[in-house]
Amino acid sequence: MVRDWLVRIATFCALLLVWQLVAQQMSAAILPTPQRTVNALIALIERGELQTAWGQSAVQVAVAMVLSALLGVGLGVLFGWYRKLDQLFSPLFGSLFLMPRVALIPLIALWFGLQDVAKVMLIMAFSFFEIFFTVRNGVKSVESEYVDVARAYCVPQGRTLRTVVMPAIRPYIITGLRLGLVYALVGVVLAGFFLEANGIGGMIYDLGSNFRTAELMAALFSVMVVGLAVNLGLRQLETRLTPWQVSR
Amino acid sequence: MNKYLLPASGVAGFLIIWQIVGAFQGDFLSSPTRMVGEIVYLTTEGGLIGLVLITLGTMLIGWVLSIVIGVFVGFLIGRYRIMSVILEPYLIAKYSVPIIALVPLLVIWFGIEEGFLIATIIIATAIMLVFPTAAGTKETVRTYDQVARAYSISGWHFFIKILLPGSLPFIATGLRISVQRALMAVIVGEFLVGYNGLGTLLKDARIRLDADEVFAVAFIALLVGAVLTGAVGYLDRRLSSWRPVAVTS
Repeated sequence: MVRDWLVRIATFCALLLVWQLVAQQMSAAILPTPQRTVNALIALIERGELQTAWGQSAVQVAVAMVLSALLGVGLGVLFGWYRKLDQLFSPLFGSLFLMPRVALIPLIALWFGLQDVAKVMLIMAFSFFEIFFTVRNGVKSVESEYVDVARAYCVPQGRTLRTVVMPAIRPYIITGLRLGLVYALVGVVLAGFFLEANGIGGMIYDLGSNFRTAELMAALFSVMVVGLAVNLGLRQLETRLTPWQVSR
Repeated sequence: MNKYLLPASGVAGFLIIWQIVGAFQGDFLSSPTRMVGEIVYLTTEGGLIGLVLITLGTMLIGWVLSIVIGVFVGFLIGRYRIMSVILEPYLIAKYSVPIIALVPLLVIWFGIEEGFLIATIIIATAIMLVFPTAAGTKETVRTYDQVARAYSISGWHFFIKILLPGSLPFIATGLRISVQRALMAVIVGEFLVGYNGLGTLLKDARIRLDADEVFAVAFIALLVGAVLTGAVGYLDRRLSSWRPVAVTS
């Protein structure tokens, strides 16, 4: 274990060195040195730009996630439970899921404008389906014995859902929420690119089009940190809350 | 037959409702007939087929490169533990970043033409080949390592004769899950920079806020994606048919 980490640290240092050497040969607009990138990151934080951008994005993501969680879990349980309903709508949902969600951007701009409402919609287009499909598949895969026993004892359907199905699908709900949040990050970046240019996406877009590459890389670094924190943190939470579940 | 009745009626009901609502708010919501009309218009006047072929061509170049890179890295990780130790943190980091965020950087590095599109496809897709290939390699090494050693097969021969065929079904799974993503990557890339292809129509539609065109392009993209996925799925079944057990994804 210790040796693994030594190897990792050594490669990381080697990588930094290569970056440094390559960057020295190039214009800073193409590839800034590691030093410049770190300075740019510090400058962005000191001026408060990074915090402002992430603050805006966080609000948009939070609203969208609450909505897609409610809708996704609700509809997921409904569609997983009533098979007929699922069959009726599955080709429609399936094709929406397979469609490049980016294609929805012009429609969202047409229907909801460019402001926060449109952004929340775009983020939901990314996060909702992940939650919905995970929860639906979870309900479908609940051991039929459990449900049969409940039925044999004439437990009313509402109560079966509440006391048998809901506990059984808890791991799926948590996995769905994690995937939904990871995809919500994609949505919020895109929203900044194509709708009103604020938040982290707008910031990245502006920095890129002005060739402020050092700051751009610093902003991308912050995206990576947030993505990692979301992904790994929620996976930790997943194993903590549902230790019996093999996470996917 | 009954199995298809409900889904079919769901689609039919959706189309009917869409048609009715679209009759009142056509510019806003489009409608099935308007969408079909737009597809016909784009095919006859807009060179749709040419654009689809250009997109497919770019996609295939990028996809093949992604496969080569992804499979190579997968082999390294599956075969040499040290490589998995070194590369793992980067792969996890890579998995957690929305690739779309990298686009401005890629534009700075690769410009706004085909090189950019191919780079986008590779960054989005190669990783999807890495883990299946690594799993396949590990599995193959576990099964055949001793036999190969007994016959003193090593190096290049081991790679060509044992590793590659052994992990082929796993790689095929990687192909199946990556083809759709490669298509999306190229469409998104074209949409972002407006370089020739299917995505360019989306950029056009965004500027003119043309709902008909959006639905037409989305439908075509869906169709192309379905055909590609079907073709790769067929390939997957062919490549895995000699295997008695189902391949894990």
